[in-house]
Amino acid sequence: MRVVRTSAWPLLVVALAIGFVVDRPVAREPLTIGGYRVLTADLHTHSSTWSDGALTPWGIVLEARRQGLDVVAITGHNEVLDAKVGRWFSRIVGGPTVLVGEEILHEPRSKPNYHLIAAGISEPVSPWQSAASAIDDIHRQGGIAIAAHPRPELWPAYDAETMRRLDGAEICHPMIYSLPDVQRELVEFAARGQVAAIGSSDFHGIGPMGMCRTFVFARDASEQSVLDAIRSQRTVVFGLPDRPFGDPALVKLVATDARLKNQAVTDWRGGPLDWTNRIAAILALAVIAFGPGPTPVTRRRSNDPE
Amino acid sequence: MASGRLTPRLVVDGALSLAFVPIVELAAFAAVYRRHSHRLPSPRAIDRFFTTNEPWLLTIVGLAALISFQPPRAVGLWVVAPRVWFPLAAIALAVASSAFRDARYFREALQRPAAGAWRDALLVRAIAWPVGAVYFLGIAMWPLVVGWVRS
Repeated sequence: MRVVRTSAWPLLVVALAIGFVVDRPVAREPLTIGGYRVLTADLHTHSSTWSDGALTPWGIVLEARRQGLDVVAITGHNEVLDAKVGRWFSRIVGGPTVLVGEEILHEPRSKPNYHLIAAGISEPVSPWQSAASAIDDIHRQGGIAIAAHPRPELWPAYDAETMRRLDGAEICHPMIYSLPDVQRELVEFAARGQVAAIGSSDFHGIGPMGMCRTFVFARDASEQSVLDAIRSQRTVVFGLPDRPFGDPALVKLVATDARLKNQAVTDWRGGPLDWTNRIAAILALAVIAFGPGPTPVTRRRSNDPE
Repeated sequence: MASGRLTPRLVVDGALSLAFVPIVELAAFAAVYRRHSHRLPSPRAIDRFFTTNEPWLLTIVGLAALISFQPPRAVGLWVVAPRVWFPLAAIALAVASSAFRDARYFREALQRPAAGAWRDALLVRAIAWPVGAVYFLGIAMWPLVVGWVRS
């Protein structure tokens, strides 16, 4: 029976070899629409460095490249250190533009709560203040403020004055695919102000990065151009049911251009090699861990010293 | 689970990201072990201790299979009711089963009485889980805790 478990190791090697082969960045020509360079961005990701994600900051950079993203904001919970590491690494490997960011979590016992994305900042923004005041801090650092998954329980933090200060709001978030009312709620929130439409994956490690993505109509791929474009609300996001949201003129423009929609749809699982990789990996891991035959430890003689 | 593939890049990155789990477990095990034998555990004892994590491996492989065979948009359905009960039940089973195996390990390998073995198994968790949580969530959580206390 030991042979069953032993034979799983070559299978695992095969899976890893296939994984190595298919693990290539998506090759895309730079996209220009209406005179703008269209950049694909995920502006809400979490790393494993103190922000309950599954990938290191440099792992996020490599995964963003793998997912064909031009821009990624690493948004640690109430900290920016991992984002700075990610940006440093991306500059070395020629990866995507990394925005140093933070997800400001403000959850006092007395409401209102808010979750606010700060992108393009250099220092952490204190969570112990109102949303309006936090947004002012973000702007002082030259960054942009985006309301993160603004479901109705978070709305009280955003009064009219705060909405006026806000730069963007998430309209596409993975929650729209699992909870029936969320798409309507996010659109309703965004309609309360003049904000850029944002799509973010809130990536923690489950589900692909860039699943919800923002198409930023920028002058070029620099950090400053991305921030300027979002401030000017030059963004388009695909929500449900594969409907574009954002600047009306740009939405009209992309309606006649299928390229963006094709890039937005991430509901795929790759080709035959990806499937072979997946099946081989799961089979091998399951057999190695739980297949018949003794484990390396129990195989040892029982009179071995403890 | 991050990308639906098993690649060397993700294996290395995942191992680095979650290296804190075996480290805090090992530290907690060493602390509990020393209470009785006044020395550090041998490599063999450590090896055997870590085999009690098999239920967690089963759960993780199962959840990885479940997620990587789903279209990405359907993944979120497993973290909301009613489907969330399936992964939650699997996790609860892993928690109970690995605790039972730990207790059995302390009883059989370290000759602890049944009650003492369960105490040791719980003590390992009482040390390892909060330390792991502080590392994994700490920076995110402490402003919330302070804000909670202040407000």
